[in-house]
Amino acid sequence: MSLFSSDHKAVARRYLWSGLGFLLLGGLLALLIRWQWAYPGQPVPGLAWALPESRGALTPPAYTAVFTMHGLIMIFFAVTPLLFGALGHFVLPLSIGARGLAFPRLSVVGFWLYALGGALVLGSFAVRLGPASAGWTSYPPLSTPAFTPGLGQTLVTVAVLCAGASAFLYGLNFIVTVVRCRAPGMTWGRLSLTVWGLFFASVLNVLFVPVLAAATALLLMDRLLGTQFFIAGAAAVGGGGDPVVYQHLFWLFGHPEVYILILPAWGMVGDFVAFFSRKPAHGYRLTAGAMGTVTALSGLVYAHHLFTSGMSPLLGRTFMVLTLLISLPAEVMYLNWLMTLWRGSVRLTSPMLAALSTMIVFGLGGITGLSLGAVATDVPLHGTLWVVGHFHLTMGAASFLAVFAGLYFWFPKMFGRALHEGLAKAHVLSSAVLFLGVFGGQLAAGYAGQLRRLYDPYQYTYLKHLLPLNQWTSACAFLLGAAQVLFIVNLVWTLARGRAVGANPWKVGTLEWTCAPSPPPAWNYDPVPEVLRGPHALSQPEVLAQLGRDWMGQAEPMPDAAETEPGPVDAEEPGRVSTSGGAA
Amino acid sequence: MRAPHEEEASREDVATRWLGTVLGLAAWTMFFVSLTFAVGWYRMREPWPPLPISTWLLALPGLPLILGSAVLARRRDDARRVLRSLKVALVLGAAFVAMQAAWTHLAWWNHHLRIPDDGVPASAFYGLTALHGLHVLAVLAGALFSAVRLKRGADVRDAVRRQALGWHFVSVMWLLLFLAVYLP
Amino acid sequence: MKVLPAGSSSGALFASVPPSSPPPAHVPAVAPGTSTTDTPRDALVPAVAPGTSTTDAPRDALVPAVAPGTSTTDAPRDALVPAVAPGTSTTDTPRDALTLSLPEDASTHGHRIDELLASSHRFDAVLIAVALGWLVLAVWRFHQAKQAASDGGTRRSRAWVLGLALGAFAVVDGSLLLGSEGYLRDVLWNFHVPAEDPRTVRIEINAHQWSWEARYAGADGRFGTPDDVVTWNDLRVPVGAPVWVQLVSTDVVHGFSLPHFRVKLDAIPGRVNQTWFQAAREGAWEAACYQHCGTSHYRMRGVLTAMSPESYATWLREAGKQATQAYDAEDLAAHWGWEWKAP
Ligand SMILES: [Cu+2]
Ligand SMILES: [Cu+2]
Repeated sequence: MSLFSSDHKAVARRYLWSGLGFLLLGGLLALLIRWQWAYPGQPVPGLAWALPESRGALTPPAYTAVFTMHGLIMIFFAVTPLLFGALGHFVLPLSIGARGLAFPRLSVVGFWLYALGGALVLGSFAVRLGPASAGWTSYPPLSTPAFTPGLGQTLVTVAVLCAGASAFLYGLNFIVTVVRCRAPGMTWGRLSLTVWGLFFASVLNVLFVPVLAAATALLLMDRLLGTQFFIAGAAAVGGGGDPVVYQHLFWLFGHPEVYILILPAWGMVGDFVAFFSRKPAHGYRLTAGAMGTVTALSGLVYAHHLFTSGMSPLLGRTFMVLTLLISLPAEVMYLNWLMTLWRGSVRLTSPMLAALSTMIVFGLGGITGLSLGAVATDVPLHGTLWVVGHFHLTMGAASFLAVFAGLYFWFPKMFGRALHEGLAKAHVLSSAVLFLGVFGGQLAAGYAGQLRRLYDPYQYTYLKHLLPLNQWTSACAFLLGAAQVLFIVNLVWTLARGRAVGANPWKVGTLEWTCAPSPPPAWNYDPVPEVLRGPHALSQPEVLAQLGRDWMGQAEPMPDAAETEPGPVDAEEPGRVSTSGGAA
Repeated sequence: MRAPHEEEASREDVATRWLGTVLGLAAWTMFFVSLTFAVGWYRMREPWPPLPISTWLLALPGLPLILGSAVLARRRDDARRVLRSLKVALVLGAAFVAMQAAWTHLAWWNHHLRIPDDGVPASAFYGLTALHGLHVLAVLAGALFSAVRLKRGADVRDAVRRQALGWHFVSVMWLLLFLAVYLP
Repeated sequence: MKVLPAGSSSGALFASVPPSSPPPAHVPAVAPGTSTTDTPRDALVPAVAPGTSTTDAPRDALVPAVAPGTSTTDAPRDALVPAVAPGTSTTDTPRDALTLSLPEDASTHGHRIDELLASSHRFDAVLIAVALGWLVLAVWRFHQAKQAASDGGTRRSRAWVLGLALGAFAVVDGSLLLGSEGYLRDVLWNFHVPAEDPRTVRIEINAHQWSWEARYAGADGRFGTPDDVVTWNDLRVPVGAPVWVQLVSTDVVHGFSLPHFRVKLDAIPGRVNQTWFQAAREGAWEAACYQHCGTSHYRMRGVLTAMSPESYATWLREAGKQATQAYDAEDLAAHWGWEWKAP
């Protein structure tokens, strides 16, 4: 298994290990931020080696670098690679019955571009003046050399370009794979919701990552060649440019990026609630359609990030309406998940617990975002920890829990070994509860007015009384960090001596579980399965009657009806097993 | 890279790669659309000063690009003819790059249009010309690669078809660049 | 989410507040010019550094909070003191530090935002209760149920989903949209109010790394003239009159916010942004930068003092005289004012 193998499962494993590594790094940086807000300016235990002058205490420059790198690493090097690089690469071809990705060599190139970006990120910590420190958004003019001269800022900007290029490549790869490489019979209406989520997110990737690339390319030229695209004010030469152009371009990418991070999560939740309610997903087409609607709208709402930038009232009103509009498809999808649980037979396995936790944190995150979508109510909350809590609940906690839902679900297929269910459940539950503590605390502090990115919020008299709240929030964060040990122990122990599992431990019908062993061989399927029904053919009466089980493989033919006595078929919907929709 | 038991796969691969190229280039259009958006923003903000190079001269490099598009657009099956059109295209591409290099050189040294002194217009002129030029070079590298493979006897007809698409793409993007930056 | 768990009371933090202060648990008003609350009340008067001219003010003030160098000085001391001592002027009820609540509202119009937020949060609470309640109920009721339904919903159930979503959307988003639109029309984007009110105070603010430089037109009512009053991290406004702010930045993007007045606006180099507000009562509050603007972003703190119209007028008159005397035509860096931009 060489490092350049182009088997999609090998590429997925590479993304998995590097993504988990960066998740750890990004998480540790987050804990540093939390330490600073709980014990401002006090030495961080065990950090004296990195910051000898301050004996381990964060200095303002170190702090700005820490929160900047936390955001960049989490978004570009941890969560996206875990969702797409690891789970997407592994699941997508298997789930549609393909023998691999459409462009296997491209996926290798994509991984190594990502790895190059990761190396630049790590290297930036070692250069003079440290890594990037202009915030994850890298707003100019702050991110131009006049105000952030260090080499680290340049390296990280290039690293973001690398990560973007890799995201563009796997986005394209996924789209073409879904369009061209589906197994016979795998109609669009029979794709799993996970594939739908990955597909829509890939569409967003290929459309909006180029926008980020353009903004970053112009910024990079401003940094390196002395162009004046985004430089204004005292530092400008020859009339100067306009930093607001960057803000528009950045958020034209930045808002879809939020959906890039959540669409695969939505897809997995949709599938897992169906699988573990032992019941077809409620309103499969509605759910897929709602995800598509969100995808279509997501490029049209970005300027809610600029409500306080002095934009024209016409633009402000337009974006306010469009932003609020996006909550409609989200509500449809959420209600469908709830309806899927209803009248099901709920099994609280570890992936199900993670999916339900995702639903809870995503629900809270979505609802707390409403007040940010309207201009008037955005004003008091803009730039506060309310915003931070809101988007961490959606693209932080929800995406994180969805990653682990997916990992706990597909781990047996990936490695042929079952993780320890008890440890997995403990990890999911403790993480979910602590996420609510951390980001709930941030919402509260933000509501009381605490602004983001303050090295010492207590410089402000009106924020002084929030210190105990922040300490409480930080305690939750440290516990959250500690809770991840449960996962690491589980992972190491399982890989070393975990119980081997069969092909279909979860007893569900999708192709990867019913047509391939765990782990699947190099070309996945031989022969390629002929798909007969949808991904959620669960608790079908005919199957129960004839086979005595509540699941049916997507490519599994019904035994000849003449052989067995047909059971009592639901009079209303006879033989619905093999038509369309969630069940079929 | 071929799966076992898949004899008819190669035809499939060609269509798949074609689709990937079409979708990829279509999506990458967003890159140039974003650049145009930025320049358009500045042009709406204040009058755009005329560039020191005449618009006719700036339009001239479009000619080899369009000719190259035309040459590559014709589908040929005969290997010698494919090689000839590749060579013609490479010469035309080199002519384009040379002209763009000449105009930027003239603007910089003879007309003293400088970065950063001349602000956004100069930045857009040099910066966007360079970004577009990098795309042209990438397409040319692809064509050169195909030409070399063809000389070694490989069948490159499908690769050339995709490179032709890339060529059309940079031609259209050059038009966008012309409208956004070069046109007074 | 309304009330956070008790147990980490912060009352002790404010033990140093003088007992004369009516709200003992919380000091909403700011101690201008200092960052500590235990300074004696008299020291809370905006610190005036006599004799300093505009140019002496630290251009790169790294410690903006300390000694806002008002350019203007020998003005009678009582004119500089807000008529009512900050902290006592605020009559709002004392709030527990752990209550989820917005910063105290000291503006005339901010209550509209607060009420809109409150009503929107009531809807949010209902949404959360329904969504999570339903989830918990479903899991509890159907856990390991013997039989599961075999369909992916009926026409009717799907119609219900659509209907429920549409209903929730119409009520929750609709009310938020209408309320927001009302505020935008009447206040935030309605510059007729400050433009037509003769009492309107116009202020030009120039954001720096890391301080707020404010410019008042002085007696002649025009900006960019020798009698312009320039202050550092020290805004003064009269109570009850619209305050119209035009905002720029010299270096990077900053964010000008007055949390107690529900004011937020980006300060962007190369463009003039504007907003307006009105102080409802006398007192002193903080101005904060909300856009990351470099290493000392967190120290970009200013103080806004709302004064009685009379003391404001006295202050401006005296400060204008001082500024005229101290005017230095050579000091180009101090001449950043611009002709007031019409809306
Ligand atoms: Cu957004
Ligand atoms: Cu600032």
